Amino acid sequence: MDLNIGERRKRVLEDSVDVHFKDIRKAFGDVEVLKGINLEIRRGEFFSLLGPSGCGKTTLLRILAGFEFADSGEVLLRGQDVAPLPPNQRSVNTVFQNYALFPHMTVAENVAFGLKMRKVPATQLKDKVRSALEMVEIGAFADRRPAQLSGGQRQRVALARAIVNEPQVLLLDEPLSALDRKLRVNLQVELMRLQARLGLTFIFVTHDQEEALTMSDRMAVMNKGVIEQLGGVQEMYERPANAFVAKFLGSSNLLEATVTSSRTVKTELGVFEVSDQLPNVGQDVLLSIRPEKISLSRAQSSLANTVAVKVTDDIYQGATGAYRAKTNSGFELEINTMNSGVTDSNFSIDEELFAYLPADFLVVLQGQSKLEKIGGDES
Amino acid sequence: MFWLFFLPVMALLFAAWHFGLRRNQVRKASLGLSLTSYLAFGFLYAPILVVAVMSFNNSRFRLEWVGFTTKWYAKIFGDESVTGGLEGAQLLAATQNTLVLAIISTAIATVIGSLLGYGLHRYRFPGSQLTAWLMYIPVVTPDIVMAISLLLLYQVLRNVAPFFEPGMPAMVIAHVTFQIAFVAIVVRSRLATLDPALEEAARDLYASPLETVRQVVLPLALPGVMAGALLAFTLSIDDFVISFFTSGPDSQTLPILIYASVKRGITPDINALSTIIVLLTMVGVFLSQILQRNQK
Repeated sequence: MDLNIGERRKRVLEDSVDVHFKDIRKAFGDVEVLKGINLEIRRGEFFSLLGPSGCGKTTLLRILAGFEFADSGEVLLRGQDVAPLPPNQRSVNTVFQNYALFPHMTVAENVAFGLKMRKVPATQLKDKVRSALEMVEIGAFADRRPAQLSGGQRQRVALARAIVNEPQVLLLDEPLSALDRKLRVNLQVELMRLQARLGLTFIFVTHDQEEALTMSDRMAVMNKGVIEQLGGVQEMYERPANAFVAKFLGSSNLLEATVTSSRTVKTELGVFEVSDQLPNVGQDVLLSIRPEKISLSRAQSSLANTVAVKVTDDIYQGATGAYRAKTNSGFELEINTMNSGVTDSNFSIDEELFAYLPADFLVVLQGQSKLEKIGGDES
Repeated sequence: MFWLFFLPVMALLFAAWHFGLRRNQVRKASLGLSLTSYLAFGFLYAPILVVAVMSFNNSRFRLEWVGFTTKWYAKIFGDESVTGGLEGAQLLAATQNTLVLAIISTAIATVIGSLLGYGLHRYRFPGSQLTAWLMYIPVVTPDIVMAISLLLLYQVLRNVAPFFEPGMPAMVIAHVTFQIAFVAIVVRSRLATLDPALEEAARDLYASPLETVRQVVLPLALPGVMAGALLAFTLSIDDFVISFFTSGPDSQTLPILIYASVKRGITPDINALSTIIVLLTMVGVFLSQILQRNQK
């Protein structure tokens, strides 16, 4: 395809909001699933709702689609309150988790369903169905039944069935979770291209952080009914706002520290320089550093922010290597290296090394100054 | 003499069943279990088999085997040269009544029962759990209790509407009352196998609630609806007790006719008629099972 995925970021219309959630609250019985969600999703962006199962992301999507009703708050779709509209009168379409293809209809009939319901003239309908099927490259299967298709093909039908209606917003509820890894990665790229080509707003619900990182322009990380952090993908990875995001989005080493000056903190591993904005001297902070930002070396370095460690685990992963290393005080660090062959990255267990934690990558987390057990499954 | 006919047939049935077990690789049963099963099946089906065998007996009254004949079947299907047994006109009227009753009551019960099944599947409302539970009462209530209660109810209602005089309309209502439960149970269990997201998908694709039912729910529930209807039809055809208590002079059905004539002694054409009814019922149940099995 001749489309540059990078280009699409420019297409996002910064000022026009497609979907606006205003203080959405929802409880099922005694369980509060959404605790006041405020969220604006811009026109033409690929937006992901990321979080562990039970965080409320799917409920939020279902409220927008019209399958659930918020207890309080407002949902605006291009400025219009959708509360009084039943699902069939909302200009959003959903790609369901298990596709929900109609088993008694052929692929073409499935794709034509929405158009038929909206009484699109027969000639126009045929052309639209054909081009939608071709767009997802399943034109050859038009006359088959869903039962005769593979998982990936069903996924494409579900996609065609939604986009053929040219909705204002396309909702995708973990659409790739039932597929195997290789297929998932291929479809991720295809979804991104499709989104770029159509210029549609995509709201993508997933519990897979890698998927969200790969595909989204912006995302919201949700946990227990609240948005933990909202922002651009890169910004959120590089500067996680709190311990939950740091742990859920990729992995992180978390370090408790006390501020000793405007540039230094004291931790159990010693004194570290930190480039990030620090609070007043004497306050406790929680620092986060990504495993791949830490470098290991055999030679003792005179640089600051270096600690002596001993390798405890060596996990070979092909392109990358993952190590666990313990400091003298027993603190365990997670460290990732690139298997590029350029730098020395082949260490063995029990080897004594020096870990360098660059000041630029020690991020001060908000809202929490002490470690606590972090809830949620990190699948 | 009779046993000469009976034993080989039973043996054949057992063999077929046993062979079926082997072929389907079901866990092998011990000899004791097999024997018990064979005996149980024997007691269940022997009476039916006796009736079927006797319907081919060329004897007017006796239970002993005289010779093979198909004349009793011929008589049922209008051969007036055969003497003995029931009156042809009575038989025809009873057959007509049975079919009219079964068709009308099944049609009504299928519509109401399917709606009930869908309603209970789809919606949670105050009392929905109670309704689902109450649905099983007509299924487990003994026919005689049901018949007596209907009789009492009709006696009260008769003062308001002549509609409830013993006769065909009253019988239709009586049959519908117990058929609804069966249809609703079958339809509901079919709906339970469907992905609830299918209805949401239809709604998401601009279908109104009515269109959703028409385009998605009904086509997918159809095997269940048909199975329920067949079940209701079969139940109506072979119902005796409830029909007996609600029938009038002009609405005798086959089971009632058979009962009435049996009091004067079992005639061979009744055996033939019973065999036909059993066969029809079996076909109905069989089709209903097939429809329920073909659920993807």
